[in-house]
Amino acid sequence: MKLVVAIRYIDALFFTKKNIKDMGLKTYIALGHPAVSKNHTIISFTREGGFPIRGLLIPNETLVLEKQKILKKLDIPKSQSRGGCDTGVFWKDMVYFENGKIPNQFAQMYTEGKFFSQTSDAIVIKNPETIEIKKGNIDNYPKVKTTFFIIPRALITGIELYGKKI
Amino acid sequence: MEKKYKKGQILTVIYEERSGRRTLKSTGIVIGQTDSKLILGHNFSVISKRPIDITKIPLKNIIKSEGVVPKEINSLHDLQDNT
Repeated sequence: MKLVVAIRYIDALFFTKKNIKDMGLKTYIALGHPAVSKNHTIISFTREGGFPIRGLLIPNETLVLEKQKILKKLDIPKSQSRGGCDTGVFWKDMVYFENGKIPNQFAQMYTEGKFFSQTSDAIVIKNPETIEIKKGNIDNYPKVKTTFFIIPRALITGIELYGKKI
Repeated sequence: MEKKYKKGQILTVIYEERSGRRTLKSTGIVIGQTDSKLILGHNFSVISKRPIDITKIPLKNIIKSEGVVPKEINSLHDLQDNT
């Protein structure tokens, strides 16, 4: 029997309240059987005959590992970050799966809103609109109206400020 | 009389789906037990300890359960070793 592991990871956060005080990312822990590839790790909670039925697909960059510093810095020009400028953030999200339908990659997300703040490990967007970019299909995420989105830097693949690519 | 599971215990449970079609193996922490179901939590917020994904397993469908000690993963190398 393959070993059961406990793995820590971070995830993006969204809020529906008008103000937020704590902009820190939360750490989560998942239990299950791991399968690791170059880009992501699958943790399966439930299996049938060794085949994952239910679990999570987690981008490797969001794993909280002691021996590896995984958070990469993205520099936002001070002049841009002060004024709450319009910002678009492309990022990858983890995927929950069930019924054995294992995704072959993470979800591609795009969040647009006013730049609100940044911490050492995340960027905060105010009044965000977020979509999941799928082949030939665009879904709003989440279904409720959000006021803030905290996106871990480790998940960000691109940022646009007034159309200027960083 | 149904077996009592200890809250906080980490288990791998082999059980039959309600339909009896499949035999599944599920791993998680015991977060509760009712007269008819065992509730396993699979992932949690480290601070609030609140479970995000759970599985409710009918007690009568449990074939076998055993305690497990999960390995803490500290590097991708650890993960590859256990894949």
